[in-house]
Amino acid sequence: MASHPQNPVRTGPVGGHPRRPAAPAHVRRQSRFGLSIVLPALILFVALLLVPFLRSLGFAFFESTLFSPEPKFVGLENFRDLFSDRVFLETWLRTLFYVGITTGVTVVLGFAWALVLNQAFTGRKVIRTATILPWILPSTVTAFLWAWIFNGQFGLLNAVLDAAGAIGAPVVWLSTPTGAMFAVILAKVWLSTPVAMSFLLAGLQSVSSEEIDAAMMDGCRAGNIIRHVILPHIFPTLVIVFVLQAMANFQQIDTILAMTRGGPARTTTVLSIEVYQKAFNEWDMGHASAIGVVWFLTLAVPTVVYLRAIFKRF
Amino acid sequence: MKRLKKLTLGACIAALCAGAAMAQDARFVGWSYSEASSKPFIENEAAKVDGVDVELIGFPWNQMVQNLILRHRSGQTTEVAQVQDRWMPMLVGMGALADLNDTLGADALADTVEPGLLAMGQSNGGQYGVPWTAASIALVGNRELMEAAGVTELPATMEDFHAALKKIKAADPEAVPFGLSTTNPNLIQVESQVFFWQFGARFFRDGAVAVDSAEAREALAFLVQLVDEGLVAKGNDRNATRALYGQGKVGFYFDPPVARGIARNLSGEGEAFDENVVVMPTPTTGNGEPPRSVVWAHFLTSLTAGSPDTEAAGKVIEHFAMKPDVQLRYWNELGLFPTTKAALAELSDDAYVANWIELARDALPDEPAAFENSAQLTQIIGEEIEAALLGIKSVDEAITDMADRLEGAL
Repeated sequence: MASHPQNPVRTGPVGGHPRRPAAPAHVRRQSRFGLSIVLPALILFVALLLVPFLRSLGFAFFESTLFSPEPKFVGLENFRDLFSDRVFLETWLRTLFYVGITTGVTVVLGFAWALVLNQAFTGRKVIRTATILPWILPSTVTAFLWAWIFNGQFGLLNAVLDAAGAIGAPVVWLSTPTGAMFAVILAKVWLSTPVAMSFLLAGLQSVSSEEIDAAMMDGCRAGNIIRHVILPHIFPTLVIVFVLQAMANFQQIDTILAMTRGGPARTTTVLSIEVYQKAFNEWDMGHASAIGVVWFLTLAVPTVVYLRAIFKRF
Repeated sequence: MKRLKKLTLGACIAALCAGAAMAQDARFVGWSYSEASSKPFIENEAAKVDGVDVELIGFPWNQMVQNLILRHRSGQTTEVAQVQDRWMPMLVGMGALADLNDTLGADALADTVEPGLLAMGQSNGGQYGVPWTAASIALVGNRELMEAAGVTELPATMEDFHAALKKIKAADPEAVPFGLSTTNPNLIQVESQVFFWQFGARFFRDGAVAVDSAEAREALAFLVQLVDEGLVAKGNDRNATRALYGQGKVGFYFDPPVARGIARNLSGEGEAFDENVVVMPTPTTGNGEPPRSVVWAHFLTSLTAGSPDTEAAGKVIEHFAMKPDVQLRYWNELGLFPTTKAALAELSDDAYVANWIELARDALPDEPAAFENSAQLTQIIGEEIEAALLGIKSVDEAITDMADRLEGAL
């Protein structure tokens, strides 16, 4: 059969993909406009974040200390040092523990508090505003506040426990591994819960009240309403909040530095403190960068995989 | 007339050239210049250095060594640099410091500066720093608290020391008998090493790790015992201890000579508190080790990088560290010990100064300071001692782990 004379003639290579038809002019204009809006932010991102990040990534493959005249390429030696160092592996596991507990408690408390503040009651606005206060306070101020609360000699906690007859002698909380870890987790949870609450409260306000009313009329208990009505609705928000909190907790340094400096005896030393220590106390940029790479991968890989899976579902 | 004009012009040019040749420039980099208390003194004295325009550059203490290394590596000229004793081996090893015997003359230095203090700035026959102020980090006692507890003599042995601490605790249960730092690994390392030395232990010998020893275990076990018996407080560092000492609540603690000035301020009693502040030899263990303390000194040095005016450097160092009247003004204004023989002789009636200088003769330099990565080594030692003091590790575990980690870091 002869080809139809009015059929468009294929101009691309035989067997190749057909050339994509040119976008209409208004689409191209839109693209250019979009690019022009994004470009300044993109330039800043590249200059201020991407280039320094790649540069520090590169340092991970060099021996670079304050005393070496020029950085010396050592391949994967810095990583080999890290993974053969029991102390570093303990720090890595401790970081996962700190991030897991802090993030979990923050999200649960934030969600519970958001449920409370989503109800109509007198004084709700005042409490909502007051709840935000820990978020507004500078984190170092918060850290010193908690350090004072947990102080072994002059601390509020000891004073309260002593007055209640719960302790016979002052407890030096920040000098015990458990007490110090509990204190830094509590301080961070106190700082972060308002943020988590705000996100989740916004998510809760998008849940249809008709659905909740219908479930209640059907005799559904509060726990079941949360489980079967509210949670499925706000699940994407919950995931985002969890991921954002985990990222923030991975990067957390100021409260720990101000409260314990990673002590006692390294028991609150997490990766952020370790990088700080290597980079700005020992001036060992090679190892500090290698820890930074491990730190980044620990956070980035599960986050990307998890977020992709979640957003495919929704 | 024309000739006269030419002559006048020539004379002016010659005078200008001569003036330019006479006025030398020197850059003086130090952390004391960044501190409000010492800045006016340094400014006043810098203006008095004969024939030298001194450019003062200040960095905070904790950024000082990094800045010195960066200045050296980038070839920035630094005629005079203030250097802490513990940085000296590292800077000498890097070849960053000039031999000041060439600039100031070995004989002139020996004639002027107290020999024991001068020796602190020597290495391999070179004089790489002239001590500006020097003594040691030693034990400071509170006479009033001791007397109230019935401790009539300064404890000379570890047994006496232990007994004295118990008496203080019994007399005042709220007091901290011994304010050893138990938080902040840097302070823990510096203070605890005196006890390690006293028990005959060393962290390093001949450049190798030597801490895995019976003596080190004995020293650490003694300190752990003091913590367990409540004679050393958990969670204390030197700053907290100084405040308590000023309130008469600490029996003994480690400090450099600034202790008396700080106690004057923190006690609120001023010079009236001086009689309580007593510097004492570290108690001994009967093993022949003399009472040890840790070398503590500020040196004036000259960096080799760039093109330093060595003559100007010499004049500045001579003015600040070798002129007795300037040194005595430094002492009067800031309470920092002089280092010249003449200035020290002027203060020989002050038992506090005389005792401290006497103690400094047996002071040893901070051990990790001999290594390039001293910050890392200090951190490791401090962390492991802290772990034992707080009961996180046994003495044996702490010493074994310390040795392993130090081996890995060397």
